Amino acid sequence: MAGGEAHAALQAVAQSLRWTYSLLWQLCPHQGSSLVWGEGHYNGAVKTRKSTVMQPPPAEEEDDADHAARHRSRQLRELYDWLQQAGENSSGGVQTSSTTASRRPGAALSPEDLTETEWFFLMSASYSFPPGIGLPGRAFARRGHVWLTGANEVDSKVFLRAILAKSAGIQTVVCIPVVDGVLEIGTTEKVEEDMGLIQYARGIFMDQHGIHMKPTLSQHSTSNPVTHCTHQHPIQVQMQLGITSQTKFDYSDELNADEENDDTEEEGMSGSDTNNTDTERNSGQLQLQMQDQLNMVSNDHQTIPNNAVSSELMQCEMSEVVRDGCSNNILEDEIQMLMDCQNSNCQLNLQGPDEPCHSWHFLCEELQNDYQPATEDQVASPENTHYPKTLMTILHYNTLRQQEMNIKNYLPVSEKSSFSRWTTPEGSDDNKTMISPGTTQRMLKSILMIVPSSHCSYRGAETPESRGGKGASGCHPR
Amino acid sequence: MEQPKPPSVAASAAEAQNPNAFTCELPHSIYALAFSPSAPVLAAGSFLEDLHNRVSLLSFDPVHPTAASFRALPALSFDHPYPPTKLQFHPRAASAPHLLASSSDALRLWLAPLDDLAATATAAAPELRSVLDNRKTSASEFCAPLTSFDWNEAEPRRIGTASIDTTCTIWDIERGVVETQLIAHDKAVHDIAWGENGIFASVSADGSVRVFDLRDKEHSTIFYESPRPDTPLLRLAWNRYDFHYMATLLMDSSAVVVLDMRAPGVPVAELHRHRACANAVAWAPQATRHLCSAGDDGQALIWELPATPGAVPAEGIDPVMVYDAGAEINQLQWAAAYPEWISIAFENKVQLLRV
Repeated sequence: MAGGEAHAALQAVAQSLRWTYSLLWQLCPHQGSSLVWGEGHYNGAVKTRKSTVMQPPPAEEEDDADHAARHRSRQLRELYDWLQQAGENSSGGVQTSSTTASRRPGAALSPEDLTETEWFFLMSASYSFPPGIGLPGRAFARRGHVWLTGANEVDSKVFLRAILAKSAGIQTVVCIPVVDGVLEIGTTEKVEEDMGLIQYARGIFMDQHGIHMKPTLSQHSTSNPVTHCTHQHPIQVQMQLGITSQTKFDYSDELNADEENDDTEEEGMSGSDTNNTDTERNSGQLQLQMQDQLNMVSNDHQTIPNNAVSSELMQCEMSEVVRDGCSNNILEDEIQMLMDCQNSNCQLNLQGPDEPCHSWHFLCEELQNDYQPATEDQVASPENTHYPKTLMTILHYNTLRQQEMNIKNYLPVSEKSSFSRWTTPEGSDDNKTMISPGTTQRMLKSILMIVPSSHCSYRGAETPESRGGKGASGCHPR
Repeated sequence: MEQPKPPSVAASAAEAQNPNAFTCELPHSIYALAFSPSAPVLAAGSFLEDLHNRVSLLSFDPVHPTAASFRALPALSFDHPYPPTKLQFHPRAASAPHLLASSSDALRLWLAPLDDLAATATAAAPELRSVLDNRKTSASEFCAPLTSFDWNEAEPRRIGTASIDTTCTIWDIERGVVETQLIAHDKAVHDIAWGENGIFASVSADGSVRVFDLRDKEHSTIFYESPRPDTPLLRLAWNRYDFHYMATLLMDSSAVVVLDMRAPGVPVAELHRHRACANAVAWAPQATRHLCSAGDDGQALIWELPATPGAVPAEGIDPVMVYDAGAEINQLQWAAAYPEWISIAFENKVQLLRV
């Protein structure tokens, strides 16, 4: 029920604001309190549905649109869950992955069915944010909103999902702390920071969701921790253990904020200087925590060498998969990128196919960078390890499909074929002679347009007979 | 090229020159054709602008074909009211009774005994099993003539019909009732084709291709519109092997328009080598990017689409193979059970062509 209520709240937020998506990041208390995907509602462009042929009443139309958007959000989540499972299976071999793919429900979405914007929404589910890291983490740590305009242009160090946002055209992302997590909303429009909108969004969300739930400590979250915890990478597990003290510190902040409401308001109104100060303070604390984490990792290495070796092997394996995937699939995925273009981009892409290729190369390059960072950078962004894994699953899936299709791209032609090879005819006389305007599609037009119109007259003529002996023939049982 | 000759002489010349094409002549002009999904049998519907028409069943030997082995089975011919606009066998090969569906003033299902073709001398003619008539539901005396239909391969209890009254009707043939009826277009609907998962598309005299999803009946997508305003679209073929691709034919046009579901509105290719209007198009049953078209120029052309849509050359795509029948080809089918065989119909002849 909590999930359903959360989705209803997110739907109300996205539709009231007419933004592209809304989602809820929730703490995952079992693994050191990182923010993970709790629920999401997608309210943006859908590739395969564009127009209404019937003219339903306005109220009915709205209900249908709402229902369709909710259904789409659920389908996106199901696709993500399937990719997760496929990723786990593929580590055990190609055969298993094929088997998994063949078991998918026929009605499920495929990656090819998504717009770039839906892609951004879906891939966000693979992220998790320790407090203070990423937009949701920062919003949670400082108990204040984070508003990012130009999300599709900033460096990925500022906004971890900048690459995806660039492809999807997401320009504005806002993270707003709420009682049990962080509310994130995003849109393809460029919107400048607006405190009124933030209060409005939070109000809608709490009206739908918060009133029915007493504030609870993160250890007693009403979401399903087991589901979310499975998103954690082993490295992240260790990371989160080290951050427990950070979480406690945040609770102290929260208590102080409750006691000093006036101070909080003043702090909010003071402007960017205060924000920068907070950022610097958090950064310092984070550095201390990271040093502790490094020490802990070192200890783990000494006490449990097998785990460390396994972790390193996994990393090497994924790195190799990424490299192979990039080199082998670039051409095929350029085609995919071209095919996946949205309506408004189709003409441009047909005229200038370099653009999607550039976008894809950019993504590949970033992936390579992600897999050759310094240890310190890697520790700073552990959530990135999950996203590439999911992407590798998708590349693998596309490779399988392409291989299957390649088998049947060849048309065998028999030596005894009735057909002959095409040769370009020369001379225009033949063209003129062969065209016979008087016989243009004669039979086809007759079948579609003339004969059907004559059914009624024949039926009229036949009616007296059909009441008598013709009935016995069985052609017109009555 | 050789100068055109009178049709009969040209046909004889073509046949004499091509020992790998097999011809069966029937008493009447032929329009509708259908291959059986499980037996080496071809159904052919006559085209007489009259109430009385006939459907013939022809047998062929797919392994060692001879002129004698491609013949009509007189015992299995049956009368049919009005010329059938489409014929199609039940898509499941394993179905015990071989059902054949036909469309004209109504949708009819026939039981065709194809199990033992050798015993045709004593077999009974196909038996009419049911008539699915819109009048029962509309309580009206006016009929709604059908221009085409398509049998859902994934859910064979579903047949979608296209009608000149602007509707598409989805029938549940096991219960003999209408599952859904949609006002699909602004004008007559000329053809319908199933895609995947309860999705179907239709073409219309209003010049559009529309895509419908049975899970969301309130919406449809206008997928393509003919470039000349109000030029009707006449036929539609959906690639069964790669559901991204569709092909459609325009009235008074020699072009075959190929569409890609991932790029709505803009054709991935327009095939322009017919020298007269195109009448029929079919996708290869076991290849993703091959299709065959036939037209008033008497030619059947096999095309291969480029792997990359952007690779279509400015001067257009040439077909890879060509067959010249010597007369206007009105119908074309590519056998799913025997992918090396194509059948065409022209005048009163049905021909079996080996790919």
